[in-house]
Amino acid sequence: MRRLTFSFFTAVLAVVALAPGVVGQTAKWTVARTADGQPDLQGYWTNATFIPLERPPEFAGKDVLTEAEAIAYLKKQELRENSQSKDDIHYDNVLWQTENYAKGALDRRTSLIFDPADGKIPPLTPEAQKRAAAQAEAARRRGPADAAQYRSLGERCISWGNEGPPMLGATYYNNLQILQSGRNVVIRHELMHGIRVIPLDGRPHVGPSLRMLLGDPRGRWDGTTLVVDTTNFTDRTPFRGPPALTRPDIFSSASLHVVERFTRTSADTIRYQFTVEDPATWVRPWSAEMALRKFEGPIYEYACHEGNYGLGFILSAARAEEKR
Amino acid sequence: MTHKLKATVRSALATVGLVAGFAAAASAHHSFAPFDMGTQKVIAGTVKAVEWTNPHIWVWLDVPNEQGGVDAWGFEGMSPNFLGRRGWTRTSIKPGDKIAVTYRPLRDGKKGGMFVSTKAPDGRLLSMQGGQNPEP
Repeated sequence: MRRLTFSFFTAVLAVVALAPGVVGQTAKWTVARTADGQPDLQGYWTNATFIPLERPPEFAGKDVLTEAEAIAYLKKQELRENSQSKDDIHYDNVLWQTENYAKGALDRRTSLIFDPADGKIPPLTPEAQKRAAAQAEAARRRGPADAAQYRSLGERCISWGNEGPPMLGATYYNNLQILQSGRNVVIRHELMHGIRVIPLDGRPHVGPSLRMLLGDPRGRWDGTTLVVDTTNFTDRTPFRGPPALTRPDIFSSASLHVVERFTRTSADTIRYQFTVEDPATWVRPWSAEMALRKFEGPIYEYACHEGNYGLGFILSAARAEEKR
Repeated sequence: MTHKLKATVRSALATVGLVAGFAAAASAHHSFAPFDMGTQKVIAGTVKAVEWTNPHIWVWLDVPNEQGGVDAWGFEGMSPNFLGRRGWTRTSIKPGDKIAVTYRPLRDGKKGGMFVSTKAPDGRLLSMQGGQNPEP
């Protein structure tokens, strides 16, 4: 309980400290440089937040909360994350969800999405609506554990969705490390041990026949901002969203294009913005923003695949159930 | 099983899967589908190995069988992060220890399940139970 109390009140202080709107920039602070002269983004960062990706109906027409509303909302989300049924003997949510930093620190915006202005993901194109209907029909015709490929990428230890791009945080362990070698920027995530290597040498994207789950990233500097342009996705990009507000229902196509902007705004903060476009899925692009907050490392090994006996047992339990 | 009944069972399983999926999104690394969460059993044996890894540890137990040999039983437990906060260390139980494991059995009938608790060789209760069910 002591940890929870620490977490909540630290978060409250963070709410009060952060200005509404975009993640604030400290007036006299200037970014340090690496030995190569690049703006230094290195360190351990968390993208944990309780701000939902899309604006909830309760905040319709309201893009910024008052201080009191923000604190009440934070408390509600933390209680939601830490609650569990009496029959849930496997997890003690207060224990395992707690980090060594305030998970709920947020500015006072009501959604990560700031464009469109209503804070909502734009409507699906007619083609995407047909695709969604076909996928739902296919899922209806099969069992939930007919084969491993029908289980989530998370259960298969492939991706929790947090690597992105766009990086949307995960249910827990929203921890990443940024390293700069001069020629590359490397982003290493705790979950699922995902690593993105982003070349800065101006090389073109690979050809269209090469498709990757995390896409093909290219980086460049725009002033002190790292801009990462990623293409060559598959149609399996997982969009998860912040803890307790995950969105496994969001999908895209192989024509997904993501542009991310990383700007260090203080010793402890990177402003992370991204724009997503996929003309085969949404009628227009959409953009979101959040703060990456510095924390003291290290990041521990997440040996998900090595210990993943669970996936096999999910399938065998379903086979045993069918015989009854 | 008739086609219609099969379809009904599948639909029910799909619903369970959907609910479990959303629940998992909020609180778990994977579905609880492998385990019979309504049953609790106890089995004794000798610890063969402890895989102390994220996101779940696994405890392997050699359990004497009727043929005079041993069967390997496997139990999925919580993460080292969680267990550390519950007072466990990677050597709380170790190969060679003789322990009795309280567990929720695998639904497929195989030898193993979800680790609930045990007593360490020094008599301490080592529990992985949830917050609403703290150890006695």
